[in-house]
Formats: sequence, C-alpha cells, structure tokens
Amino acid sequence: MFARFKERGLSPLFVIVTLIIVAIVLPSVFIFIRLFHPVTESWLHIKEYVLADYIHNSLVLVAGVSVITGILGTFFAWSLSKYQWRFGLLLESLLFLPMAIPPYIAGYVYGGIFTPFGTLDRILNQVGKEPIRVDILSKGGAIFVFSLFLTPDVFLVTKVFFEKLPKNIEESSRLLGRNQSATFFRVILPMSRGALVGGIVLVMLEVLNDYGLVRYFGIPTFSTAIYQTWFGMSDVDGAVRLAASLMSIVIIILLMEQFFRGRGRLSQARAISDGGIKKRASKVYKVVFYVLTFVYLSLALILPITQLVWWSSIAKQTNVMRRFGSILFNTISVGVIVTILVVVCGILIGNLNRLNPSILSKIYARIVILGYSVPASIIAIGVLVTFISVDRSLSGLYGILDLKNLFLTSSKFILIFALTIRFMAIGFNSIESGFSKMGKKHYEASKLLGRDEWYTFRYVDFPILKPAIISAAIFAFVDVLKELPLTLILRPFNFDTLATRVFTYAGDEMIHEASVYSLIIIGVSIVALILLSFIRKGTRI
Amino acid sequence: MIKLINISFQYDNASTETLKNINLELETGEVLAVVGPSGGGKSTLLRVIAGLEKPKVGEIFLGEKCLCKKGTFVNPEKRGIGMLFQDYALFPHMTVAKNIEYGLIGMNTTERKKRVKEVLGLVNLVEYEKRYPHELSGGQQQRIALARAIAATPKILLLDEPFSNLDTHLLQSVREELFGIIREIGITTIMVTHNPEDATTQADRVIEIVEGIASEKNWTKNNKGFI
Ligand SMILES: Nc1ncnc2c1ncn2[C@@H]1O[C@H](COP(=O)(O)OP(=O)(O)OP(=O)(O)O)[C@@H](O)[C@H]1O
Ligand SMILES: [Mg+2]
Repeated sequence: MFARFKERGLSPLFVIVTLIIVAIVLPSVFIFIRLFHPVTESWLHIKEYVLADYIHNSLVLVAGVSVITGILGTFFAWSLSKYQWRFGLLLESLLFLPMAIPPYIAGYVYGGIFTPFGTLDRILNQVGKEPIRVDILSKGGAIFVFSLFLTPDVFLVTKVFFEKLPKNIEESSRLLGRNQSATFFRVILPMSRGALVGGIVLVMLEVLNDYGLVRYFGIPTFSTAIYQTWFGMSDVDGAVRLAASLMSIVIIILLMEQFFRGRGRLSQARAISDGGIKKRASKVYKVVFYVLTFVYLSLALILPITQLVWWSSIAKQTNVMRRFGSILFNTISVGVIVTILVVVCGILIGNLNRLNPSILSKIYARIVILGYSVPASIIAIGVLVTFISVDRSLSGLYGILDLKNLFLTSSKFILIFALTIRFMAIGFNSIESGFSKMGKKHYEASKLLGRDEWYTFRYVDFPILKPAIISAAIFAFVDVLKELPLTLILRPFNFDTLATRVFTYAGDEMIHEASVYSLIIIGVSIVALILLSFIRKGTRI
Repeated sequence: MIKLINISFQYDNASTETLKNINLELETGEVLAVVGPSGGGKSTLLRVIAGLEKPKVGEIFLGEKCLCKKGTFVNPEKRGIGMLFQDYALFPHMTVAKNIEYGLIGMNTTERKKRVKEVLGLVNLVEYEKRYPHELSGGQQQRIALARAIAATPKILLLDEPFSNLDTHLLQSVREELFGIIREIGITTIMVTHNPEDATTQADRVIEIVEGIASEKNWTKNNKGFI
C-alpha cells in the first residue's frame, strides 16, 4: 500500500483534497475529544430533567413531519409523473416553490396569522364571527409548518425516480391481474423505497437542523438546548454532550436509511424512461388531486406570500432601512466567498475521484456527502471548540502581533469555514454528477493531443462542466443566503445577514419589518429555482 | 518504430495481471491488427502504449525514445501518439476546426489554419470546419476524430474498434476510406478489431490477445514473425 503510494508519487491534488477532508473532520474530532472531559454539574442536571424532553420533542417532530411529507410528496410525484393534468407543467413548477420559503420564516408567518388578535382574528372580526383559537405555537403546529414547506424535498426525489421507472413493470403487473392500486402498493412503492426513504431522510435532517422555527414556537429541542447551554449557561462540555447525543440520533437515522433502502434497488441502467406517455386519471382521482393541490398550494405558497407582502407594505421604513446596506453587503460577501470555496473544493474532490479513483478517494467523497447530514448546531459547536483551541495555542503569537484574544473565533473566518463545510456536499453532488456524466474520455483525448492537466481543465473539462458548476454555485449561494443556525451562533459581534435580521426582528415582535427581509430571501430563492430548472433542461452532455 | 519489451500490467482493483509479459515490435508504416475475445486485454494494451495506464514492469520505445522503463514514465501528452477513441471523444463545445487545432501546439495561427485545411481535405470534409460535433453523422464524426488524431503528425496511430459505432450500411465505405487514409500517410498503426476480415485483408500482421497473453497469427500473407 505504502510502496504503491510512493511509486505513484503523492500528487498535489491528493494532498490538497486530503487537507480539505481533514478540515471537514476536525470539528467532529474535537467534539469527540471533549466528551472525555469530566462531567459537569449542569450536564447532570440536563440529563436528569430535560434530556428526555429534548429527545421526545425532536423525535415527535421528525416522525410527524416524515409521515406527512412522505405521503404528500409521493402522491404529488406519482400523480404528476403518470397522469395527464390540465396545466400539469405549471402545477409541477408551483409545487416546487414552497422550497424557497425557509421554515423559520413560515413559522413566524403562521404564528402571526393564528395569534390572538392576529390576521385570522381580524378577518373573523370583520365578518362578525367569533374568533377561533388555534394553538399554532405547539408541536402540532410545528409539524404542520415543517410539513408544508419540506414536502417539495420528497416530491423532488420521488418524482425523478418515478419518471425513470420503466412502463413495462407497471404493465406486466396489470397483465398479471393486479389492478391499478394493487400495482402501486405492491410493485411501485416497494420498488421506489430507496428514493422515498432518501427523500424522507433529507426531511428528517432538515427538521433536526432547524433552530429558528422551534425557537420561535418555544419547543425545546436539541438545537435550542445546545444554543442555550452554550450561551445561556456557558457550559461548553454540556453543549458538547448534547451535540454528541443529537449526533447519535442522526447516525441512527442514517443506519435506518441503509437498512430500509434494501437491496432490490432499480439500477440506473435498467431504469429507462418510457417516452412519457401519461394516462388519464379517473373522476375521483381527479377531484382528490385538484382539491389537495389547491389546498396545499394555498397554504404553502399563496397564503404566506400574501401575508408577507401585506406586512411588508405596512413596515416602518426607518426600521427596515437601518443598516440595510451593511446587511446586504454581509450576506452577499459571505455568500460569494462560501460559494467559491464550495465550488473549488467540489471540483478538486470530484476530479480526484475521477482521475485517481481509489478506496481512499471514495471514502473522501463519502465523508463530504455525510457532512451534509450533520445538523448545524453540531457543526457550530464543533467549529467553536476547534477554533477556541487553535486560538488558545496561538495566543502567544497574537500577543506579539497585537491581536485580540480569540482572534479567529471572533472573526468572519469561523463563519465562512463552518458554512463551507456545511454546504460542501451540495456543491460536490452536482459537480460530481457532472464529472461522472462526462467521464474521462475527453480528458484522455486532450492528454493524447499533447495538452497538460491545467490546459485540459481550462479548455476542455471546465467548459463541459460549466452547467454543473453553475448549478452547484446557485445551490450553495441560496443555501448560505437562507442559512440561519450556523450564522446565528458563529457570526461576529454586530454582524447581521438577511436571515439573522429576519430572526431577530421576528423575535422582537417586528414582524412587518422582518417580512421585507423575508421577501428578499424568498424572491432570490425563487429566481434561483427557476434558473436551475432552465439549466437542467439545457444541458445535454 | 515501436517496441514493447516484457510489458505486464495490472489494474489497481484487479487480482490478476490484465497483460502478461507482452513483447512486440513494429516497423515504420506497418499496420497491426489486434484481435481476441472480449475482456482479453486489447483495449488495455492500447491504453498502456498511449500512456493512459502505467505498466507494472516492462519497457516501451518509440523510435529512439524510451517512453517507459523502470523509473521513467513519459506522460501521454509528451508521447506524440495519436489515438482514435471508440466513441470519438470529440470536444462537444468546440467546432470541428477548433477540435483539430487543439493538438497543434507551437504553430502560429496561419500554420494552424493551413494544417486544419490539409487534414480536413484528407478526410474529405473541408466544408464542415464550422460545424459542431453533434451536427455531424456518425461516420463524419469518426473522420473528424481521425483528422484530429493525425493532425499533429503523430508517430503512431492507435485505433480501438473504429467501426463498432457505425451502422452496417456505412461500414464498407468508411472502412475503405479509413484504411485508404492510413496507407496514404503511411502511418504506423495498431488497430483493435472484432472483424477478422479487417485483420486479414487490411493489416500487415495480426496478434491475438487471450487473457492477457499475446500470440502472433499467420493470417496475412506478408507475415514477418513475432519476437
Ligand atoms: N478500469 C478498469 N479497472 C479494472 N479492470 C478493468 C478496467 N478496464 C478493464 N478492466 C478489466 O481488464 C480486462 C481487459 O479489459 P479490456 O477492456 O482491455 O478488454 P478488451 O479485450 O478490450 O475487451 P472488449 O473486446 O470487450 O473491448 C477485463 O477483464 C476488464 O474487466
Ligand atoms: Mg475493448
């Protein structure tokens, strides 16, 4: 093994990628080391009285949201990929759009609609009806809001799968005497288990990742507890232990995913599309579909956006404009820097995997992808612990250079670092799929025509890969724009982005002002989604 | 012209050697056909000669130049070997002319333009220089790929099943044209083929590779022996 490495020579690419991977893994290592610190008083307290609560709440949310998004997402995906609908294409695009509304924004919108003297009360009052009490700030309410806005995640994954499903599978089941619904439940659904589970796991991780919505709704979960323990009680080791407990839940979810995916997966090669001839739906099915779609789109798109627009229109100009320029600048500059880093790392790691595939490079890729399953609160704690110990060990140097204590920890660098490792997987995924679509042949042809690596990358690989790189960049930028928990924990003093501004204003009962910022985030996300769908249609490698 | 001495090769993830102790020598202008069962190692042999894979042991000489022996390995871009890929590997984002110019390193613009015209003339596609690869038929793409491979006057040309992607009705004319061009420029050629007819009628010599072991066949008239 070692001799072979030497013989091949450690390529610079390999060394750089290894460093990137070390940076990704380091925070987890630091969390792990901290676990061996002596147990503190407050951790004992947490363990005794509240840990069970956190676990219970997190699991209830995860379970509820998975079931609802699983059913809704699969229903929409199946209906739209197999049946004809009037305005099918439009409906399809609209069903993706709730993705552009982050749950923490939706949370305060729904909070504002249902609170006493909120929008609902006022409307009922206008028409002279008794107010209806809905306790939205509850677990049930949180499940409702999460489900509305995470359904597109499942919809997206299952739809791609259903469209690739060969038609003859369905037809042979029908010829074997099974009716439509039996075919769906006995053949199609088991076959698509992998895709469905993949989509649901994404949703689960999203729920565990959230901080803004559960905080606003006052539901104690891991993410709020970690934040509380660190900042409220200054108990680092307690926070680290909470992070480790949350990580075990994530690991259990990932193991369950492996288990439920099963072996009988449809291989990509066999999954040939059938030219997309869609059937006509029965009357009943039509009614169910149109009603569900209408209700869903009203709740997940029309209602929140209308409410936000209305609130924005009555927002106080002075509050909205306070430090607006610097917030915009912060958001864009952090977004651009992280996007560039994510794309560059994605290209490096993807290229290593393409040119020198080895067990190690596969493990690297796996680590990057797994990075996305780590909830933000864990990354935040890991990165904080890491940076603080780096700062401590550099304190002598800081003294000489006349820098303040904890120089790195209190800088923008820590935020950029954390966001980059959090979103690396997103960039890597689209770049990797671009690389694997394009393969090695153009690279090899270029080498045989006498061009070196750099020239080949610049004039062959890069242009062919451009659509994948652009999608990776759009994904990464929008995700940074929407990101709340990491930014909230790791931002330097007095540093605000659009997302943190939404969160603080909404928390301070300034929901009208928060709405302006929310609409900017949502608007940019919608434009990005539209751009992405154009890119996807336009690429043919 | 080209000489392989005791070449053995093994893929990283394979348990046995894909090429076992291959010896081969070709004279300038000779056309060698490589035949054998699927999975025998024909494509691998071409990739090793091209420098896309690194042999475990053995030496390769091209003319006087040593391409590969213990401690030396010349990268593919420095070898001056032309290769016609099975699926052509034309760069989809470049026009025909740009594809061909790509390998013309160290020429000025006028020289390059002249050379592009020349090789396009050779493959009978002069009017097509502004087209993109996807605007060409399969046979035309293949001829462009050939033009690109020979534009920088490589010392040797490698072809991996050049006809496997073509419709049968095209086959006869494309085959004659391809061999016509090869004979016209007199380039030393190694061609992997499944078609025994190609091997017997078009090649000067034939070798068969079975499970990584090469043996010379006496299928052609002017057989010169195998070392
Ligand atoms: N990249 C690779 N990694 C590992 N093994 C490989 C790789 N490419 C080919 N092989 C193996 O090496 C052996 C020889 O393959 P090669 O492609 O050279 O055969 P071939 O003679 O060209 O076959 P065909 O006529 O089907 O093209 C096969 O057993 C194949 O599975
Ligand atoms: Mg082959």
